[in-house]
Amino acid sequence: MNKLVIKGTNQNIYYERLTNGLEVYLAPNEKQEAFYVTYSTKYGSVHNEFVPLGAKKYCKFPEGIAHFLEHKLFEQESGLDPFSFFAKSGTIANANTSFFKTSYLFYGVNDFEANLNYLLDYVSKPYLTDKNVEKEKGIIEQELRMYDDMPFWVLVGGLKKNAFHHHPIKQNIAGSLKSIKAITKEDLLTCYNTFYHPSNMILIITGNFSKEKALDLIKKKHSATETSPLPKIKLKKYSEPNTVVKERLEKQMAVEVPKVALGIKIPLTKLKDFDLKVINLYLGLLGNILFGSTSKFLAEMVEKGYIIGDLSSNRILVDNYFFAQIGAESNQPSQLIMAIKKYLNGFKVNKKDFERIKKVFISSYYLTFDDILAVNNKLLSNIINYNKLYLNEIDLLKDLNKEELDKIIKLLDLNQVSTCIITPKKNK
Amino acid sequence: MVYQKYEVGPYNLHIIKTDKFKTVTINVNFRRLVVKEEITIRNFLSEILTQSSLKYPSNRLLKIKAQELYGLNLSSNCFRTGNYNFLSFSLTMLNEKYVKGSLLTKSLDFLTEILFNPHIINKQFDEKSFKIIKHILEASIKSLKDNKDQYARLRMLEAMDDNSPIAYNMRGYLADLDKITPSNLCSYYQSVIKSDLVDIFVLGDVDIDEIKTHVKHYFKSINTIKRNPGPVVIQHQKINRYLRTKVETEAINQSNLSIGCQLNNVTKFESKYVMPLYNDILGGSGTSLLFNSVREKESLAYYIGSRYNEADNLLTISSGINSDNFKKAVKLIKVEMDNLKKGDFTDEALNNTKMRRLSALKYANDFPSSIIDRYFYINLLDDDNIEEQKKQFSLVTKDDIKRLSKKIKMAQVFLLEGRKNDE
Repeated sequence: MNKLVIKGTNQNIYYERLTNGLEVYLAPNEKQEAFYVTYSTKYGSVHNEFVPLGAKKYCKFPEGIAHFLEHKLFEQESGLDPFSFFAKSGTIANANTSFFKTSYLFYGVNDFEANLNYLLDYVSKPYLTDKNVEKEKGIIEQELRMYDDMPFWVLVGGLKKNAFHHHPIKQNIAGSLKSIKAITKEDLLTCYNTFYHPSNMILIITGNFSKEKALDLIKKKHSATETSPLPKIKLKKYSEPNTVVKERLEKQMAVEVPKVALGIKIPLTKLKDFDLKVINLYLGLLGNILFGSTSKFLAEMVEKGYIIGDLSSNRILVDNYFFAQIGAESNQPSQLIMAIKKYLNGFKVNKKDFERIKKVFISSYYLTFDDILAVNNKLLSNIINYNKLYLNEIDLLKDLNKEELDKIIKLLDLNQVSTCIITPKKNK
Repeated sequence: MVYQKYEVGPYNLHIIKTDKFKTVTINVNFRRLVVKEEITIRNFLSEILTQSSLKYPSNRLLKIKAQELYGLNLSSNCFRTGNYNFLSFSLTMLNEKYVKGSLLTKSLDFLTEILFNPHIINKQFDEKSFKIIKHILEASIKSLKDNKDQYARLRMLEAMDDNSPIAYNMRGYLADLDKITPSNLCSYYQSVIKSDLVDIFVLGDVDIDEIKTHVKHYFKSINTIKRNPGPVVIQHQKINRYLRTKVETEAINQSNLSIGCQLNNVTKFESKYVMPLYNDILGGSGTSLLFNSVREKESLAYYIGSRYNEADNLLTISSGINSDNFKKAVKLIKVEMDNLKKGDFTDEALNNTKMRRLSALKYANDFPSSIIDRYFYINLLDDDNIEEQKKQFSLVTKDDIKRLSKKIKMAQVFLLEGRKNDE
C-alpha cells in the first residue's frame, strides 16, 4: 500500500494497483460516522463504438446501453437483489451512469466488510435473460419520459446535440425510446465483458473504515478470480470539427417560464502548453468572475429584465474540447443570447475580482474534506478526467494568477456557440 | 457533541458544540402560524432581505462582502411545517481558527446587517430591489407548473382539502403578489421582527460563553417576549368518506400520479415510530412493496415512492406512468396497502427498515444541517432524544403496523395525464 498525502489537508490516501489491474484508493476519515464506497468502470454513455473483447473489428452499439447495463446489474441469479442485501444492514445502495463512467456505490454505518464483499461480488455477476432485459425496457421508457418533461434536461440535451457533429457526447446518457428497444441480452453481455474487467475499474473508499481490513478483503476477493490485466480497450476516436452543428434551436414545451442556455465549444489546440486541470481551474474561475453572483454583467442583465434570478455555468471536458454551458430563466431569451455573445467578445477581468474569487475557491477546497461524498467524487473525477490524483491541487489553486489567466484568455476561442431556447407551448 | 439551549424570552438560543467540521453554521428561524394570504409577502421578505441592505445597497455589493469573508454562504427561505410558516436564514462560514482575523464577529456583523438593517428608506423598501424580487417571485410561482411531479402533488392536495394548510402553495400566489408594495412590505417586516417567535442555532467548534455574549449583543433588536402561537400538528378537518379521483390533461410525455392518504387519531408512538417504518416498507426505498410491485414486477414506472409528513398527518404516494396504466397502478398500490393491513409482509422487511432508521440516526451526525434539524424537531415536534429514538424504533412490532394501517385512509387520487402511449 502506497501512502499518499493530499497537500494542505489531513487526508491520507492509500493506493494499490492489484495484479489484475484493479486500482484501489482508500481515504479513511475517522471523524465521520459513515463510509462511502464507489466501484466504477471507465465505461459511460460515450463509449458506444469499440473493439469488443476477443473481436477484431469495431462494433457500434445502441445509444444508452451503458445505462441499461447499470440497471441490469441489479438483477441477480440468486434472486436476492443488491437493494435487499444492503437493506439488511441499513445501508443505502445505488448506481449511476455518466458520459465517461458507471459507478456502483453504497453508503452506511454497519457491516462494512460484508457490504464491500457483496459489492465486489454482485458487480462481477451479471444475470441477463431475454425476459429480464425486456422487462427493463418499460422501466427505462418511463425514466426517459420523465427526463423529457424536465425543461433544463431538455435544454442541455439540445445544446450538446447542436454543438457536436460526431462525438457521442451529443447523445442522451440513457438513450432514446427507439434505441433502447434495440438492446439485446447479447449486446449487454459483450459490453459487460469488455468494460467490466478489473483492469478497467476503480474502487474508492472514503470515511470511517479500517484500511487494512478493506485491502485484505479486496485482495482475497480478487485473487480468487486471478486474471491479468487486459490490453487497452480500443475505443473509436472521433475527429470533431471546431464548428458547432447548429447555432440556434427553439423548442416549445409545457412550461410557464422560458428558459435559455448557451453552449460554448472551446478547442484546446492552442492551449497545449498548459496542464488540463489548470485550464479547468482557470475556466471555473473565469466563469465565476464573468457570470457568478458578483459579476457586473449579471447585475446589468437582471436590472434590464433579461435574466430572472441567476445565471448558472459549468463545463465538461470532451476529448480536445471544453464544453462550457450557461443557463438561465429569461423572459427575453433572444436579447439575452445577443448580450452574452457580445460580452464573450469583449470582457476584461480585473485583479480585485480575480483575487477575491480565488480566495473563495481555496476556502471551499479545504471544506471539501469535511464531506466523505465530496472527497470520493473529487478523487474519482480527477482519475476519470485526467488519469491523475492531483495531490497538490492546493498549490495549483494558490498559484493561479491573473497574468496567466490573461494569457489563457488570449488563446481561447469563444466563438463556437450553440444556443437553445425553451418557450411555453401556446394553447390551441 | 454538546447541546445547550437557552430560553432568553425574545428568542431561544441553541448551541451545538462539535469539533467535527471546519465550518460554523448559524440558523435564525422566524416562526408564526401559516396564513394563506401571507405566504407570498413572506417569500418576498425572505428574498429582499438577502438581496440588498442599507450598507450593501445592491446584490452585487452584498455578495462581494460575503466572498470577502472567505466565501461565507448566506441563504434564506420560507417553509411550512404543519401549521407554522418558518422564515429561515442559514449562514455557513469558515471557522476563524483557520484564518487570520476575527471572522466570527465579522460574519455576525454581516448576518445582523441583513436581518436588522434592511434596505428601507422612508418606510419603504428600495424600489430597484423590489422590482427585481417581484420578477423572481413571479417566475417562481409560475414555474411550479414546469415541475410536473410537484405540480401534480399540489393539485392532488388542493383536490383533497383546499382549505387546509397542507394544500397551500408555498411558492405563493400571483394575485397576492400584485398587492405587495414597498411600503406594506416594510410594515410586514416590522411585524415579523416584533412578533415572530425566534430560534437561533449555532453549530461548530465554538466557545459557548463567547457565543452567548455575542448573540446577546448582536440580536438585541429582537426584544419582545413571545408566546407559542398554537399547535404545530395538523388535524384533518375534512375527512373524505369515499376515495375521490381527479384527472387533468396536459401536453407532456409522462403521466404524473399523486395520491394522498389522511391519518387520523394516531398516537405519539405511532406518529413518531410506527408510521416512519410503515412508510419505509410501503414505498420508502428500493426494497419497498411499491417498488417491487409497480416497478420491478409490472414494469409500469421508473420512480414510485411514498412520503410521510408527521406534522401534516399525511402520507403521499407519487409515480410517473403511462396513462393507459393509470387504473392498474392505483390498483397495485391499493393491494400493497391492503397487504400491510393484513400483516402480509415479512419480518425481514420490518427489521430492514428499523436498521435503516438506526443508521440514519447515526450518519445524520456527519452533516451540520442534519444535526441542526434534529434539535429543531426535538424542540418543535417534541421528538425524543437519540437514545430514546433508537429504543422506541426497536420496540415496533408487526401488530403495531397492522393497527396503524387501519388509521390510514386513501382519500384522493390525482392524475396529470400526458400523451397516450405512443412515441
